[in-house]
Amino acid sequence: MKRRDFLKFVGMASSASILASCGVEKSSEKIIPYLVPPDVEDYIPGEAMYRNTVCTECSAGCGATAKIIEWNPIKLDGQAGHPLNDGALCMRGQASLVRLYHPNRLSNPRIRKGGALEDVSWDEAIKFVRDGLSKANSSGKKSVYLAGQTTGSLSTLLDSFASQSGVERLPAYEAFSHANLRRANSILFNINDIPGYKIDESDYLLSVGADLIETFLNPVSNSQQIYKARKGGHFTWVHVEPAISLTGYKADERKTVKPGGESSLLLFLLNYMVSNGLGKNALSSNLRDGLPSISMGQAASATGLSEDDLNHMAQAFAQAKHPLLIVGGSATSQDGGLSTAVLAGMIQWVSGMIGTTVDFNNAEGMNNVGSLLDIKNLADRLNGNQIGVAFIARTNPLATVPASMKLAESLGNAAMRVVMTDFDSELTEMADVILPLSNGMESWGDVAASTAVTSVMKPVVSKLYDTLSEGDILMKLMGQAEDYGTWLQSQWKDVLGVSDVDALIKKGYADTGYSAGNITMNANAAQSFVSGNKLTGAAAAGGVLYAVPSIRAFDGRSTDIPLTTEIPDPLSTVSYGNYVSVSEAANVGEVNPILKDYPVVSVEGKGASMELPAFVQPHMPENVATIQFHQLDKSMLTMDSNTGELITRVDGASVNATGRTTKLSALAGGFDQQHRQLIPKPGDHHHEGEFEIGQTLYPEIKYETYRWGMHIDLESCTGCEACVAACYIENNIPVTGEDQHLMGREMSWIRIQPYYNEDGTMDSLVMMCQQCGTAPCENVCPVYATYHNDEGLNVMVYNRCVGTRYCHNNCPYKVRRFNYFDWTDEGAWAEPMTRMLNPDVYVRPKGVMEKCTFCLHRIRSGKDFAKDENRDVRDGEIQVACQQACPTNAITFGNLKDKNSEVYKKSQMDKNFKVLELLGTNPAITYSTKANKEEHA
Amino acid sequence: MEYRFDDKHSFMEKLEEVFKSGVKPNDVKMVLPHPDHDIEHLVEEYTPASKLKFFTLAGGLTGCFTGFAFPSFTVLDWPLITGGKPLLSWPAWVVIAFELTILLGALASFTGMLFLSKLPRFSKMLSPDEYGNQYVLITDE
Amino acid sequence: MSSDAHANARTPEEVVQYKDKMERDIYAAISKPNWKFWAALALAVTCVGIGAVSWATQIIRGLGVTGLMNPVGWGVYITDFVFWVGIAHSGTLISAILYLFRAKFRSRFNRAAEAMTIFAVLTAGLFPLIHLGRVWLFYWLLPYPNQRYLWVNFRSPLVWDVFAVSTYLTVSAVFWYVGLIPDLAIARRIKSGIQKKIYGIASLGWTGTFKEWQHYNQLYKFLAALATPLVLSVHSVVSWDFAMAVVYGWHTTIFAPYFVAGAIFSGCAMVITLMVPIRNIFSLEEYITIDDFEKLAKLLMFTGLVVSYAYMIELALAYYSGNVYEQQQFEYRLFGDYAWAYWTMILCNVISPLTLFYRPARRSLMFLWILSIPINIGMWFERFNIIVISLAKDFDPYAFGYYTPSIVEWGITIGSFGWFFMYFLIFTKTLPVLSVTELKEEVEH
Repeated sequence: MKRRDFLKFVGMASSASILASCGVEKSSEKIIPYLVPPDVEDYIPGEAMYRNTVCTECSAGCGATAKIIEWNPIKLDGQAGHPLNDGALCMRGQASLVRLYHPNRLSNPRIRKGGALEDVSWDEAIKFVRDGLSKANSSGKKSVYLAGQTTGSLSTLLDSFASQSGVERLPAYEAFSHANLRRANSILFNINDIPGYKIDESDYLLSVGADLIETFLNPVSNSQQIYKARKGGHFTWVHVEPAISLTGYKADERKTVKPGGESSLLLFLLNYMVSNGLGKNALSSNLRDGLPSISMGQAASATGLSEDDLNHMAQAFAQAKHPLLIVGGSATSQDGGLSTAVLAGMIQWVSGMIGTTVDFNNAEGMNNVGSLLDIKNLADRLNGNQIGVAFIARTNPLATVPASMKLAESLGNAAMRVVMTDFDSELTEMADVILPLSNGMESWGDVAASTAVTSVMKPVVSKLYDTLSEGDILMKLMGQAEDYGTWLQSQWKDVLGVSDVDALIKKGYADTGYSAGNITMNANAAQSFVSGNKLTGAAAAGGVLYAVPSIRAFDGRSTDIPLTTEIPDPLSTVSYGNYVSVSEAANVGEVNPILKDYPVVSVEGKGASMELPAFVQPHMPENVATIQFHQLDKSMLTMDSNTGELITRVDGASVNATGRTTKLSALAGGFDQQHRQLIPKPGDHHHEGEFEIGQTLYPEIKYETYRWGMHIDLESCTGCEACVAACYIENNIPVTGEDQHLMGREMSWIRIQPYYNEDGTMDSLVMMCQQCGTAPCENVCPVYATYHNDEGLNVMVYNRCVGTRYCHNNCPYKVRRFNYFDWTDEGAWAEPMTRMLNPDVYVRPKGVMEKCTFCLHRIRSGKDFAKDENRDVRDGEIQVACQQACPTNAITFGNLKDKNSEVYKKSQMDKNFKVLELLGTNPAITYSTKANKEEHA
Repeated sequence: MEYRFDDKHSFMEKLEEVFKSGVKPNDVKMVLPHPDHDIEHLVEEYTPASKLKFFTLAGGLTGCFTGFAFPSFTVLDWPLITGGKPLLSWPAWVVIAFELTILLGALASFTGMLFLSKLPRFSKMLSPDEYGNQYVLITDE
Repeated sequence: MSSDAHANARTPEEVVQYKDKMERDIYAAISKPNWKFWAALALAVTCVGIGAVSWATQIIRGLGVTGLMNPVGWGVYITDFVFWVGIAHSGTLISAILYLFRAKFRSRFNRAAEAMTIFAVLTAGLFPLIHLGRVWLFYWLLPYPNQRYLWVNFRSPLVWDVFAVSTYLTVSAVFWYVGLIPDLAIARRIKSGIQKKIYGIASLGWTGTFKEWQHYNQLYKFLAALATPLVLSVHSVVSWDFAMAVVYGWHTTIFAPYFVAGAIFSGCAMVITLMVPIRNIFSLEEYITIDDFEKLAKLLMFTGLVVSYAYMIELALAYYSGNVYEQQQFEYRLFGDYAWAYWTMILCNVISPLTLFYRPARRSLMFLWILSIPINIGMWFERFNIIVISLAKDFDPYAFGYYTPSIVEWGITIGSFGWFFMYFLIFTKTLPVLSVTELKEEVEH
């Protein structure tokens, strides 16, 4: 090689490597400041603005507050002070921000031309639909409008659209329509609705089947009320269920009832009250005599509960000053569910709950929700070719109705299918017109949070795509020039009686108030029901499979949001993949959680069968299995032919081992504490004098003003995963997907670890970086990428990290997360999801360790505000994301140096413990549990 | 005068004779095919032993001092607490000091050897005097 | 064959002739290689290529191409690192410690063993870089300040590693080179043409005057004296990477001696793996005898027993500690998901060296060579077990997990063997594989 050639090669090689090293950082962009800043009062470049809106992930109507930085909403939280959900959102609500930015969102109207869908303008699409409508009208076919639960002004608008365009508005479709409950209430109290339950005003809560913490009506509100009731003292919560649920574990007592035995339990309770003359309202003698009697022995055998339990439950219930009975979920969505609901209503009446803890003035507002009977009716009409244009908005019945209804086939008979939604599904595949809906945050609207409260929303972000809100679409279909927002504001003035719309929007909701009148039980209707129906059914024989709505996906709708699948189920810790939870007695084979090996089982029932991995759920009763509703083969679903309730109990289901195993992305490597005393149990404490925890050779670290600390109350924690979702969104934590989860590479900074105990209880341990005072991770970092700062935080300097992963190995809590890939390159933030990145938090590149630092950016910003006012940070001024999201205030954050701070006071409680305290890591997080309280009592 | 020997013992006899006659070892040139302890002992009766040990000592002491001083300087320059340990975590510095003692001791010794032996000797690299496996004594006579 | 017995019987002329023959025999290897050598070298370079492609993949895509995960943050790479550092051990051990103890069989192995040390450290030194998440910033581990005068954390065992391994490499290289200088001078004398020039420059103009030898002897003694504690310290420091951590299965006081013994064990095995073929291929039977190998075999057996003792002590301590984490960790090693790796190690490191109690086994080169292979494998698994199994099941049951090495990690491991053997092959053809000067010196005694 010639010398010159050699030099050329050297030059090429070195410049190539220089270029390559530049490529590691993203190329910079020029930032030009505003010459004239936008005329928005609270806009400060780079600072957050807060706008109230409404969470539209489900129809509960929780008030939400969007945190907006540079015009992009980057976080959704509960609206503080909102009567429904005061400051908290559930995990799905937190995650619903992703829905706004998801790259797969439908971005423009499409119509089917010659078999294929093609993109068109809104005008074209509207014209296409209106032509379809008039064609249908002229051919004598009826057009129908089926939507998800619709309340507030949209409901009014829908009615006027229906009457103007000759479209029939069908009762709204919700998979979990609570049809039996509403039917029972309409029989007994003439109200086709579900009342508000005032858990916080009760002193004894008996919940039967209703998964209060997971999905029942409004889990956030339920959890908050349970928390309030517990703080008030004198509150006992007994949960009765046939299977295993998070709710059961979080109740004070969890009782297992035989499948189908719920009605016997209720009948026993009713009989007990009536025959002992207890309760506030007496039943008419006819009704009393008409009630079938049930002895304690009979009740015990029908329910599977012991006589002691029954006796105890009945007495406690009868003695309570403000008892509350909530029946729902698996108790009513089964055969005989109506009887169960009616019995519950009668108990509520007898015990005087109606008007006190059961509040019809603050009801759910579900009176225009239909049931599967309406779907059946629709299918029949479709099959009779009577339907012209079928509008389907904000709901996908194809995914949730029993397969036997063959709804998809029937829907093919409509002259035209107009689908309004935001994501593709089996429904859009068969649509003739797809009208993409704007996200709630891009829309005007109002939602009834209850019959007494209406939450309102105004767009908080300009539209990302060529979409319209449902209201705007209706206005256009009606040929109105006015847009929905303008119409809505006049509506608010007229209907809500609001004079200042801006003030209303700022407040976020209107307390309209509502009176359901003086409610008394219709004794005649009750009596005819009692005499005409079998009140108690036999308990199911053989295996039973329950399809339970999932805390992560509800009826399946939230699976559109990748984050809800990324975050594991709080009981099984399964993130991705379908699975069935079976009992240990089912003997389906060995589970090896470390290898993530789970036995494959075949689940058969109602003539259908599924093969899927089995999670062996500790404490699951024999012959009972559960599956998340959206993962069930819909062939196994049936309908209550009387009420149209969806029957989610699959009787005669069998779970059989196949002998094979498969990998299931259950994130836990173990489901019990294995004697490791992570959550010390009574008697676990080290003997006095053996050695003193916290002894050290090192000088004590002095903190000047702040030592940030946290207290987590595991007794209050419901394991609902809202904090996890909040943390993901706040800290730009990537969603890594199933393959990475199977490899053990989840990125969560905070996680809920379920530990099952032999006594039938389960502890959810909230695990995150413990901000150790003497952190093992810090010593071993060769480059000072992690060190102890002067405010007691174990900070992580991402830019300095070279990625030895030594700190991760040396962390006893295993809360450090390594960026094995550049998740941005791997598609974690596909455009336009980059817009939801929190600009206050660095997006970590590949090869860097990351972890929780108590939302350091929030601390920073809180200190800046305090500094502007020349003072120290006040207690409670800084809220970390997980703390803010927690519906039950289980997380307290603050300055441990401040002896008056809440966190300091809580950290000094007797019942506290620190995780792995004996290692001498001196964590800044203290925990408390019930178990410890008992020990010290 | 150049004397060549196949045999170590005759070489040593000749050496002793030369030295006894008052010639200093520094005044003659001895070339050996390999090191030999007997010859070394003999010659060292008439000349001081190698001064290499002072290089080793100096290098080792420098290393040891640096090993303690340098980390101490860095932690005081920018005090960062890790794991609650005191800033001057001298037990950790022991390892650094130990390794530096060895490193600088060895390098100083090597440099010392080159310096004392006047190596590298560029003039002899390509046109050396070769004596094979014989013992050679060259005197100025 | 013991040369000194014959030396006394020889006439002075014969002694000189014998020394000349010795030079000819040993330097005969430094000649134009045959096709077998080229084939072996090509194989080694191919392996290096596999390793390079694997590493490039890893740099471009990220460490995700490995099997590393939560909770196992260190896997095959650190195993390879410790393995190669261990291999590096017996080189300087044989050289320095045996030099100080005046053990004669040292001179048969020291040159190759030292070369092995240097190449093994060169290989080992790659792994701390390979395992970095951001290898392009590896120099941040070196003790220099960044632009804001932030230095490295001298409390981190990884920084100790930087000092220990680089000191070890430097001192070993100096030690090796110093031993080579007179031999290079011999090469300069007996070779011609370009070779003569290269060896001439490399020999620094060494002429073999008494003064040179005087300082040389002194230097060699000091280097041996410095290298001996260094050898012991290096693997101790490597063991402290683990022992200083809080992880059960790592956090134990016996690690330093345990690792040093293990390192000598694996190093001796590797010396046997290398020297048996070299003796055969280069026809050095006259200079390296069965007796010499038997001594090495005894050392192997002894260190094997020390290592076995350490394994037992670990279990005994776990049992006796009453510490649930420690007990479960060792129970998991013996009977858990990684039991296959544990029992492979026991079979290779505890059972197989016991055969050396049988004298004919110690004296059979074929047997020794075959035995050295499972010992090398076993010692690799020892490190794998310590590193991986301890991490797989540490404190929090939720965070337990199973690590499976990926193809990229195996590719880089193969690459490391290629890298090592590539250097070693080049060494055998360019430098005397025995220390001629020292052998000559022995002739006189």
